[in-house]
Amino acid sequence: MSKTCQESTFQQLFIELSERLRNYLYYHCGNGETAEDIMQDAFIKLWEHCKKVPPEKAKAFLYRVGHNLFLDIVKHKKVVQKFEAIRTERPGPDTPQFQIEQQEFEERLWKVVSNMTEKNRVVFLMNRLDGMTYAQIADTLDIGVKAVEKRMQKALEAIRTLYPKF
Amino acid sequence: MSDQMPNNQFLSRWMNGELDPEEQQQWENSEGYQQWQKIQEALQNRALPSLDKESVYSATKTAIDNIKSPSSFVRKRIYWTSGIAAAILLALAFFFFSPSSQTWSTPVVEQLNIALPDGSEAILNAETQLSYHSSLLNNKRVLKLDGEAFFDVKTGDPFIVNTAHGTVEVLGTRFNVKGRKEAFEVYCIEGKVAVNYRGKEYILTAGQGIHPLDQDKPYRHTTQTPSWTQGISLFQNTPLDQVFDEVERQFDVNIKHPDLSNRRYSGRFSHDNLDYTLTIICGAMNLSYNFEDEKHVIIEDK
Repeated sequence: MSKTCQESTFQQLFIELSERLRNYLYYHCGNGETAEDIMQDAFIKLWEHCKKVPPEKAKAFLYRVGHNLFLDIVKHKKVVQKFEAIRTERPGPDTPQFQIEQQEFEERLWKVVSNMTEKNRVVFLMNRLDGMTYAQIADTLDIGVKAVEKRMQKALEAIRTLYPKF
Repeated sequence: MSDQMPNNQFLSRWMNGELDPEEQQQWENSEGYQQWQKIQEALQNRALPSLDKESVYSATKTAIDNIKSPSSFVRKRIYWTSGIAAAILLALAFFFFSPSSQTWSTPVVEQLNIALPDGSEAILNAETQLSYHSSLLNNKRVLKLDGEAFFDVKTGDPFIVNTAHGTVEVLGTRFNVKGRKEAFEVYCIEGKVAVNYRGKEYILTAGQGIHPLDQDKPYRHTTQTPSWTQGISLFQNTPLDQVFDEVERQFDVNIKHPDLSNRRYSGRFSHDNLDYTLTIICGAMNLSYNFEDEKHVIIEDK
């Protein structure tokens, strides 16, 4: 039986991997609660298959299972929300006018992000919000670094559409 | 703007932390960098908050424990026949889909105040069964009601009451549901509830209720506390046989009556005097009643 079946190892894997996995799923589905549910389900699946999945394979297993669970949900059209604003008012010395402009910009930016292809968006946000390097992303998604760079370029092109003169 | 923003290749290198210190400094002093700060801030505004790993882990672990540990499963598979293994699988599936559930019921005459596991409260009217079922996986509080109950719901995850006729969903509010085999009625006292009844959805706000008789639009009410919790049953244009069903329930008697489903009754009775109750109802509806014995009443047209 692999070490994954030991509770201490399993817990360690959860501590290490759960947050980024949840974020990864959020970048796919745009809904934080759904992302957390899928993440938990993926860990339950890992436990069920712990004998066949040694700890070093756990990450790949979780991302694969998580992605499949996500696709399953999409097929049944259970996801509806897309990257809703979490905070609408932010404290600070900014004038209301400035705040409104900020919010408008945020709206426009996230619209662009939502419209990116899923693959490009996920890579872009893993880098921007989880601070992962291309090598780390490549390793996590089990793709080449070149592929990550390519998706990043595409994401940047999309971002540029925010500025007509670029 | 275009002259301030470096090309994608440069940006891509920056994002991967590949710039050398000199390039980095130059970039950070440029206007394009300011622009990127704004982008970064707007992105972060919709990032998820950090995960409370410990509590989410224990929730996940609880769900897993309900499935069973893999080691004990293996032992059983070795020693037991495959038929029993199949039974274990069934049990496993059962535990998986019903992580925790509890059931309460009241006999005739009695009412029961209960504290639900999530901190919400319910009062069950006589002859009512309620089961509570919370699922860790989808964060829902699911209840099944056969009878009548008043709920004071603690704010939180969706709170869903299923009855034979319809479904009521709320987030946190006070409302009454009657979902007996012959009757369905919901009224909302505080907050907002969504009712799904006969394939239609109704949104009820405080002071609104729905009743099968005036199906398409909610009625108004001013109830603050359901009268039955104070020992009074109240009826408005209710089929008379349902009124007698309620009398049976509140006084633990058996009532024989002719078919009264086409007649409607509006009024009230208190749960403490059967004789008086029967006098009032029968008087109003032009019926007569006789006690066959202490527990049996016969009602006839006058």
